Amino acid sequence: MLSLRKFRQLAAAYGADLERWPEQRRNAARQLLEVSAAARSLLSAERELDEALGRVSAQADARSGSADEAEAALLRIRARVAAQLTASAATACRRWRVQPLAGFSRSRWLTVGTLAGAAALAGVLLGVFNPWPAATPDLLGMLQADSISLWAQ
Amino acid sequence: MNSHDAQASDAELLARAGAGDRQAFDQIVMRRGGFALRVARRLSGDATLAEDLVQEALVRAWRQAPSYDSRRGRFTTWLYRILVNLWVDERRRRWPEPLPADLDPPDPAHAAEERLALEQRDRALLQTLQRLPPRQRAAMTLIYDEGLTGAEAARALGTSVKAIERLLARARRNLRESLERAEL
Repeated sequence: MLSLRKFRQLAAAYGADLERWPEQRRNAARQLLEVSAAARSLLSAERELDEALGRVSAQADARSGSADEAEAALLRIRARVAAQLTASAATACRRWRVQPLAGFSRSRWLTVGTLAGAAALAGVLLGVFNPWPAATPDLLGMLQADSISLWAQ
Repeated sequence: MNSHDAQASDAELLARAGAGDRQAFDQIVMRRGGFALRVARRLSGDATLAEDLVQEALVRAWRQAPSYDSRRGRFTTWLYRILVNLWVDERRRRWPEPLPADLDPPDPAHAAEERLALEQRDRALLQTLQRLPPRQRAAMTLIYDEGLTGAEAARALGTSVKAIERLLARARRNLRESLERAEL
């Protein structure tokens, strides 16, 4: 059975309506109420505040407007959320087009630099180990037109 | 809105939203926006502020959708948490001072009729309710207005059940004291 001390703690938090109490405590609370006048008195005191809170809550709900007004508010919110998400997406897209490289991280720059350096090194190595054929007299002869000696006699 | 979206669970819709599906997210807005607006109105007591809070909460839900894990709790609990956190921040920004100890009671000269006295006590109670420390206010709204269990409210506020019960007890003590002052 629930102790009066524990009952008091739960009543102070959840009030007089046992349906708000933790489910695993409700039966024990009902058993204590049947045998304890102190428990019944505690709950009665909390009930007064519950009733006042219930009135205040109902008044607040009544002031918050009709169902039509709530529906209109929801449609406004829906439109504003959609506009905000579209604007955020457009801003992100513009930023990508205008500054495509600005968003490059250090690791991405490192990767690009490494690849460029490797390509340059490959070119140098190709040139060193696979040189172009040397210019030979036969080759030059093939390329040149017949010479006309100005001093031919 | 197609019939498939209408039958999809919150978790399914949010998973699709997390992958960039705006239509799925719009379905969530229409399905849960009304409840979020009701909670925001009860928390803030201000219709305009409530709309702003809900708008920001839904935008944050969209941005955080990729990280939402349905195994950790219902979408509504997750949305409660975003909304309550936004309201707590706003509340602290607008009213950084704690609850005043000398809250003015209604003028007892006008308390001649029982009905009028009741109205004045209710007004005092509402004023105290709106000026409760934000986490006490949030706990009261979730348990008393939204009907959440202590465990659900604890998840929504990112705390323990015991902490929720302490918040509720302190809030009720503050509210009872305002009623007693109003009756003097």
